[in-house]
Amino acid sequence: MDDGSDAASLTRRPSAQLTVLIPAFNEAGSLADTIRSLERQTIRPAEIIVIDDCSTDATAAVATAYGATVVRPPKNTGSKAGAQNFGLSKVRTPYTMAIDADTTLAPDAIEKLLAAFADATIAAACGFVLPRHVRTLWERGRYIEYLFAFTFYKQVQDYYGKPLISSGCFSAYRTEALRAHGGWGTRTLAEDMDLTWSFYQSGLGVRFVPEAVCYPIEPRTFAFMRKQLKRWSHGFVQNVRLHWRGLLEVPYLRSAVAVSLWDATLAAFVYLVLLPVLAVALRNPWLLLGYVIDVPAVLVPVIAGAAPRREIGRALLSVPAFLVLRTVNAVFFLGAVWKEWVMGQSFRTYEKGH
Amino acid sequence: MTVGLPGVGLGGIFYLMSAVLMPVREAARLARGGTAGQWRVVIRQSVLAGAILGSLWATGWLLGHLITAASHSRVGASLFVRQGATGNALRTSALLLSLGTLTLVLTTVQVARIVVRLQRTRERSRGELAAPVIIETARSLRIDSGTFGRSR
Repeated sequence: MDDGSDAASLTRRPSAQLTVLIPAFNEAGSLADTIRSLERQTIRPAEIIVIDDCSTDATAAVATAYGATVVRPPKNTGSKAGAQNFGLSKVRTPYTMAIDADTTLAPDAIEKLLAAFADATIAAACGFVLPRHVRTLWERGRYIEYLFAFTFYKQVQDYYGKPLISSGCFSAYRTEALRAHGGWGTRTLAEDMDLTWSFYQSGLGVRFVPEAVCYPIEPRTFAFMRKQLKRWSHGFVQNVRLHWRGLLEVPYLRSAVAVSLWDATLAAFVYLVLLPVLAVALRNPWLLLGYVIDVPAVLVPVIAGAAPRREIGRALLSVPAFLVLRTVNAVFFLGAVWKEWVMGQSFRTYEKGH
Repeated sequence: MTVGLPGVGLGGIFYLMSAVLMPVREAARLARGGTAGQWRVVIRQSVLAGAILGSLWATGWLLGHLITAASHSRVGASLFVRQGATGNALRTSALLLSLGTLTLVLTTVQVARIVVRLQRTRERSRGELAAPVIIETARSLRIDSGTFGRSR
């Protein structure tokens, strides 16, 4: 409703500048919640485009029923990046937001996120990610992982001007910068990391806005988690291989990527192989404390992140699941390094998980 | 996506050090005449880093006591426990190992950067040297084609 006030016009103005892209393949079950959360934003987007990537369920019907524009490529694009690029060609606004079809937003998420673009050098902005459901082992593990990473790691990265990744599940971009980089790349399995690192190498900035919160549905079962971890781990290794020379000229990011690579390889090897082998060889069970020795340290940012949400109890209950997920994570990253770099088998199949 | 081992890994130490350095960096920025814009984040992350360091110290202290106590019991027969009889030795060696590894990784990155830069400079200078050859080749091609053209 137009009340003519300054506040109302300020609220309206950015809405006409933002298009939301939702890539969707058989997402009829979750898409309605995503579109509804977009409609309830304090700043509403000018257009919501659902890219129905040749779904076999009622994805298109659900999107249409909730007022979104539906576009459909002639055949399945084979990846999220492909679907998003198809949608990008329809965007006519200066800002583009990408959101997963299983992700909902806090009511002021878009408003908070768009504020980052007041700085003309910023090409992308991402928000705080928290699992929508925290019930199963995997969801609980992810809940702690996100609370820890988004309360501590990512805020430090943002202070130094280099968030490691503008998360694919919820990020906003300057459309011009996005197009100048050819949209989302299909050359790796982690298109969001590829784009973020490309922006940095072009001298553009990325911001992390912790106040902009989104809630994706995380993998409930190991079958889904396996697909996601495989995609992420191989995507990271592929991006390091693709960008390593360019990254060396990006301060802070080069160090962050180097320590991540160390953790994904040697630290993972120590964690998975060396610790148990030494414990058995030296007949010293104390060494197994290495698996839990950092739990108090992990709990600090986790509790700091959970307290304002009044979720301390849930967080404490979820810590054991985090230890399981961390171990599984290490297996997948070590496997990805082995397959991509040692065996030379690049994994290219985009397996849809969550 | 969180890469590697959140918490225990080298990444944890790296971000801890980064957070500890934030007030120093911010103060230096202010001293150079910059605006005080990020103090809220700096204070919040520094407090978090302080609490994490405190929890690590407390864990080390507790573990040291546990190991020392165990060394007086039957578990003390193992090699590790005999060697790590004091908690202080364990804490110091863990700290030195972590910081040493981090320094090694960060130094390697800097060395790689220098090597790649040198390679690029060499490639560029080779390209500059090669340029006259290309021009010369192009000239000769033009002359040849001209000659060929005239002869026709």
